[in-house]
Amino acid sequence: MQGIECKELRKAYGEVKALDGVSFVAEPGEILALLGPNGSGKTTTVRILTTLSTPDSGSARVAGRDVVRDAPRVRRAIGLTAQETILDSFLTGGEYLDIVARLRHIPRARRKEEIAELLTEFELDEIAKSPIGGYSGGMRRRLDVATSLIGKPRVLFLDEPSTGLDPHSRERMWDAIRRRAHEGATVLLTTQYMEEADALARSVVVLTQGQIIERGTPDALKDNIGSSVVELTLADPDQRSLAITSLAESGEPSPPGEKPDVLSFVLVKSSPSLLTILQRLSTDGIEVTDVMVSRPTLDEAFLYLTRKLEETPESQPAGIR
Amino acid sequence: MSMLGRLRQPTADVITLMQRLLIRYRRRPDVIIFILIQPFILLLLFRYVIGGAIHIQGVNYVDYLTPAVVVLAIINASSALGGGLAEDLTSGAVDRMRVLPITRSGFLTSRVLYDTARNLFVIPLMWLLGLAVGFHFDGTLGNIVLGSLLVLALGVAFAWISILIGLWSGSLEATQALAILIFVLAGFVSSGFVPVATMPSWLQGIANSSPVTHVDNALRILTTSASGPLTHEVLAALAWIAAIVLVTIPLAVRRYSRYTR
Repeated sequence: MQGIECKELRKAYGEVKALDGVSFVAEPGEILALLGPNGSGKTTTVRILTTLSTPDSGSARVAGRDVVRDAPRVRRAIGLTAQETILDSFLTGGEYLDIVARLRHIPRARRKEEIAELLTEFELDEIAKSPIGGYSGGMRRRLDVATSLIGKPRVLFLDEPSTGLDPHSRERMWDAIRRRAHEGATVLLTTQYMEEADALARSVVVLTQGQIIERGTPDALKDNIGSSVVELTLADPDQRSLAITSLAESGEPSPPGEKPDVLSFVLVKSSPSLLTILQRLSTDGIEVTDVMVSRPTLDEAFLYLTRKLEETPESQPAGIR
Repeated sequence: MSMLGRLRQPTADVITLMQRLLIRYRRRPDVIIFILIQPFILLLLFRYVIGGAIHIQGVNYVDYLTPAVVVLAIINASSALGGGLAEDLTSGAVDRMRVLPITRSGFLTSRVLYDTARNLFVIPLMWLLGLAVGFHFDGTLGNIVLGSLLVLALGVAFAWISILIGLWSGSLEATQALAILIFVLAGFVSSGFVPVATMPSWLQGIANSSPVTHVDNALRILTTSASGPLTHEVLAALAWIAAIVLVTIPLAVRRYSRYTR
């Protein structure tokens, strides 16, 4: 297996379980998106797969090599754009690319050619001779991603690559990423945005609190995540838990709570209809004073899913499996 | 692959990493000046404020003092190394380096070599500052070169100690606090500023065996009219430096390899 393969990765920092049994596979030519909110374990996963950290248990292979036992070989095959990379601000962009290219042991002739191509691809030609210290956030990001592509790594890790980019630069960055996958590289990118995952990835893995709560193609995911968000206002806030039980029995996801008298949840494809739910509540003697249905954006739906899991860490999220 | 063949790539990597750091000097030569400020002020204080009260039989105090300040300048400069490393580690700046196919020891070595290259400028400048405040040089050019090389070697030892502290403490502030402690203790509990014989006897044992004392003494024999067992002092200093380097390098490389945030 030449791409990425990880099995049951676990990693804890003290009491906090950063990763709690994460397994997935990405093949050469595939772009896999790790989607999740802050603190969901995306960066920890990337750090383990790029040999910057070691798992407490579980195993991972990158480019066919074990990331713990064979770390030096893994490093030869990978490129990484980390979440926050402070570049040497006194170097020029061109010097920085050259130094990293030399440390990747690329022969001199190919080095020049490759750097020139990257500078053009990421629209850095004009600033290649100025010190990085004077770059804007977006320029730094572009240089950073360009740097991780030097030497045509077989496996690419991009941790939130589009942070701080304007829409034009983001499109160009997406093109660059697609091109690498087309050339046969395995790409793992992390993102907080469903839109980015949708635009790039063949498969999406949704992480929350170190666990995978969903996986599939972006289209399947969109279908699953469903069409609407329902907010029910209860006449009696004391009946809230009763209502939750009632909905759980009909296979509903447990709703996240903010106000005591409001229940909100996502209706997914497999959910019973709204009418069935209301009838069920009525049968159980729960009075609903207001019903609000809204169409969420993909990102909102995704937020609901992840919030719900955080509310009820023990229960299996019935509605989304 | 032959031993030499296996070393070729890591050596090339260290040179590349050094070049990266040396570009900084080409753009910001003033960093060397900042390193000189602290020891220079110390030199002035001991020369003009405190020195008047210190009388050492048969020696002008400025001649006694200057070699010690040269040594102190290098200890001070080298002690700063670990703080920068700790900062780079916590900010994630070295992640880029850590995922490259280069040896872990190469990265640390390049930083020590960079420090040493900088000290090549710092040492002659410190001697010049000493001359400016009245140091009377008594020796050959060969003497001062030999003495300066010994100081340079001591700087390497302190640089590795500093790196180890930086890796263990993991923060800029903690490393700086510890580095200052070492700088003060190592610099002053020695023959650097007053003769060891004037200290309480329990302290004399420590001061006499300190590597800093051996380097100070050797430097005085080489560059002033002072006399003493030069070979003994040089060999004792080199033994110390070798011991420090042999202990700190493996520990530092091990710690750096396993460093995880």
